[in-house]
Amino acid sequence: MQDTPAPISNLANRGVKTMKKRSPAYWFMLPAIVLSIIVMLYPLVWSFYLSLTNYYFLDEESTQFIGLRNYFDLFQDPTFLLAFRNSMLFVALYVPSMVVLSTIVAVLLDSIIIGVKTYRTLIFVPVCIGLTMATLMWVWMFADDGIVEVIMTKLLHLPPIEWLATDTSTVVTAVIITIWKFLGFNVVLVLAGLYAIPKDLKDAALIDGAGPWKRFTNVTLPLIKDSLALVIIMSTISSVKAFEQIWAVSRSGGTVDILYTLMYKTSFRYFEMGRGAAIAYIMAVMILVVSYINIRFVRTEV
Amino acid sequence: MKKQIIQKTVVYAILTLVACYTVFPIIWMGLTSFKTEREIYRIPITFFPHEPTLENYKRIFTEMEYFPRYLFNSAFVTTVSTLITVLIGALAGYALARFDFKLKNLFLVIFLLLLAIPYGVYLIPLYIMEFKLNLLNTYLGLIIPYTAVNLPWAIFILRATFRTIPRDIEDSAKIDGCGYWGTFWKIMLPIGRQGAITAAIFTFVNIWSELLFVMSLTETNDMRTLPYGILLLRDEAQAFAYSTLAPAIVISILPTLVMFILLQNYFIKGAVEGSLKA
Repeated sequence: MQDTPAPISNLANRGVKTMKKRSPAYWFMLPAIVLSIIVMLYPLVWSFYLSLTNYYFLDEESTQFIGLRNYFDLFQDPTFLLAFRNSMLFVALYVPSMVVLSTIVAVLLDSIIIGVKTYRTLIFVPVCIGLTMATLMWVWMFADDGIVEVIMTKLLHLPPIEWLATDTSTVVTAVIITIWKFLGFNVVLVLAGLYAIPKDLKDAALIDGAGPWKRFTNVTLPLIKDSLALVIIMSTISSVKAFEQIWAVSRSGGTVDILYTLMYKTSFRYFEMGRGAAIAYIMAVMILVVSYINIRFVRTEV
Repeated sequence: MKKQIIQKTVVYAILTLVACYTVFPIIWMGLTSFKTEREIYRIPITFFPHEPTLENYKRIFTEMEYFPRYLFNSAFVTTVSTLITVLIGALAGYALARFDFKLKNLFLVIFLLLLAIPYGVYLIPLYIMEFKLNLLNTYLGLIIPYTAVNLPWAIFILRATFRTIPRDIEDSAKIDGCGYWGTFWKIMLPIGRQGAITAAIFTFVNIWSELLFVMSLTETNDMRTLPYGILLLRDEAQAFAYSTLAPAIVISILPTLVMFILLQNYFIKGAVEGSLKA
């Protein structure tokens, strides 16, 4: 008496599904897995191993395992310490400015009705432009007697700025270029958070007679915290990954170094790839630590 | 009432200022590219070109030996890598959206991790591998890494898209006798094309502007792509020779700019979806 049709077909179906469910997924994943292993995962491990050796590309034979010596050496090397300081300065300037700016622009965009789309588009445009080109465009604007200097001295009567005179000013210039490139991206992220706020919450605050600042800090800010955490993570990643902005801002590979450009020079100009790998790993660890702290922070708070 | 009008005016003024910051550099580069060499370096500077000319554009195609080649290399490498990335990303995204399997969570965590790690970490072993396999300075030597490093992002965008497709559609296809493979090609990919386009756009923009790999993995001028090529043009010139650089820059930002103008909704959606879902 087992044959009422429905259960049988169900049973059969379930059998087929559990049988097949496992196998095809791996086939679909296969190309992605193979490529990721060859190009990323294996190099990831290899890179770490290299960072524990004195690997010199032009003389592979004499490679020796030297433990953590590269790392200790780096933190005593003034060139590295300067690059490290510049990278830190980049993060310290870029991340907070991006959080504040993208929040302000997003809140303003959220408060208007006419022209939202136009403004959003105009602010998003740089996202589609590569950083090398962006940097060259800004270098032209910042040039001596260039348009920025004319605007600053003639229109605003400010003293001219030597944009690329020192390490600090070069990093500031690169930060301005990086904000230009990613502002639209982050504004859109914050906007998505703002749109997700239920309208009655805003109305309730309005009825309670809360002023704009109070409404912002008490209602809006806690509700877009997730978006802001995302902005912080993305901005940290893009500032540690910054390369083109510094590389191209003065004559290629010019005088100012951040971690990434120093890693490139060490590995591909001087071919000291063991040491280069150590710098790369320091960068990766910085990103992972910041991402981890952020995700933790958001998870426990929500 | 009056207070409100003032408030609105201030809001629009600030937004306009921000929009100028984001758009002006592009306009300025465009204007510069149509000026004569002498006008470009005239002091005080002029805003609109006095005698607009296409001379600069003509020159980069006739006098700059390698510029057309850079353009071709960029177009070729970017297009091929983008197509492969989206295809492989769609396959993996489908598996991660629809199947339950043992290592699924592990894969998700790994791709998330790979999303955050700077390319520089892979670069040194990649260089050594390509050196040993004679892949340095070849198209393949660029296409393989480009495809791989853009995969994680593409996978997350496509996975997010596939998850929004109702299961019923898929099930009815299976009843009609489509296997998993047929369902993927005939049903999922066409319905999820929006995600595929978004992933393609992001991958394209990324590869089109990539500098680090092309700097380290190519050795001769005929293999270089635009970002590196233009930097070389800049370094060769004595001063910053913007009469040739400006048109070169305009041409190299044009493809992604046009893409953005035509498909901006995909860009914006991709930014939000990719980041939130990842």
